[in-house]
Amino acid sequence: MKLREDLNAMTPRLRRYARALMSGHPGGSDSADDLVRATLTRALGFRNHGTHADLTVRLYATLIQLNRDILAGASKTAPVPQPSQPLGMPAAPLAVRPGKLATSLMSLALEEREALLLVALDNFDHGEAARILRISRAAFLTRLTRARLALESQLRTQPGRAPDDHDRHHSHLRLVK
Amino acid sequence: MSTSGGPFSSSFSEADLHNFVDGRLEPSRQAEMARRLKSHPADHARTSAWREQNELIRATFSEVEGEALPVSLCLAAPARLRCVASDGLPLNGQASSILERPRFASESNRRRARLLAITALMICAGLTGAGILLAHPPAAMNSPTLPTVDGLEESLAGRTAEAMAGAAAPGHRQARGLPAITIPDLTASGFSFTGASADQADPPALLLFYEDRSAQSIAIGIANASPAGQPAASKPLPSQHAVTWHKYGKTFALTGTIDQRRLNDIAAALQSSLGANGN
Repeated sequence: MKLREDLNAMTPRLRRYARALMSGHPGGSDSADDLVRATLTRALGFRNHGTHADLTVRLYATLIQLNRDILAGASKTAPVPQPSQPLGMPAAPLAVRPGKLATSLMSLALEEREALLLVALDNFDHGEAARILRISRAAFLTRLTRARLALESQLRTQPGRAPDDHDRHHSHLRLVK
Repeated sequence: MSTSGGPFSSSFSEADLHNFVDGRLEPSRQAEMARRLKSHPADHARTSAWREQNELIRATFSEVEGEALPVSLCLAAPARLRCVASDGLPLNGQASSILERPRFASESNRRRARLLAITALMICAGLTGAGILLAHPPAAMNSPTLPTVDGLEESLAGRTAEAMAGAAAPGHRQARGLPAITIPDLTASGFSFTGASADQADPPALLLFYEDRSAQSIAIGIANASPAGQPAASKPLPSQHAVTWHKYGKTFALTGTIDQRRLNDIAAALQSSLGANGN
């Protein structure tokens, strides 16, 4: 029962991350809950999940991987909604409405959004976040830098102005290693 | 790591700047960085902007963590009910291929299961004062089909709910630890008794179902108070359309598909109809 208790305790936080990860997507809140539910279902099968910190890392890694799988599956069958097409997006029923931040987050590449939210929202240190994303710390910092620069650029754009390719490419090109 | 040529000046490493923004440096280094950044306006502006990003993101999503969890995300509720309880929120088609989603056979059972789940939640919330769910999945919920006592007429009112729920349980097992109570008569409120089931959680709870002429449903959950006698909520929980209260050593939860005001009226009627010992 300990695993269930740990998972129950972590669910609100996981849900918040999922909601942020999917904010701006059509049906974001419902999809986020579906994603969390799928993650918890997977997590119930975890064996030797180790310490609480290990479980947390594994749980987030599972959620992120499931989300990628879903998006990959969707991209084979239907066009993925573009960030610059917010029309027709239903209003989220709860606290988070797809405002400027949601649109800006959605304009980030998925891997950048994942990285940024792990740190900015869930307060993971960079080592933990790198473990969750299964990348090196250096690669994580690169993603984080890209994400922050891109979000900075997006938040600076005028309201209503769709993020354009020039901005995105510009933020990528500025990062010279 | 030098970032010369990148978005930062060469005075700071990428890691240091991110650690500074995220408050991950030792306090002394944090102060030193803040001092040094003052002489590098571009980096200072950038780190300030990133801190604001963090704050904006946290502020935007801060309420999510405090929201009541939907039953579909409560692991203490068994899979069948988790699925049913989220019926009102259709699965995203993209996700449905990887998520199992068993269904109830009929709308009647679906409605009942939803009430069952919410009532169990409210009972638990009433006993613990928190949103943490039952530690053990209720046996009645885990059964392949919900134990139903459909077809019961109002004339059955007066039998003990404990006995009926025991008979309704799979294999007609007598549920242990259920509160002894006579089925409340809610005809004055327009509701007829339709069935009962036992929720063998800890503590076990009786779940009584009622329906009115327009097929609106309510469910009453009743459990003996925990030995610790923790206080239960005594006011309606607006987001749940439910009322919980604690009386005569029992915790009651009333929930339904009707509006909160009508639910409150029924709760008041229910409280006054209970005998002095709460039976």
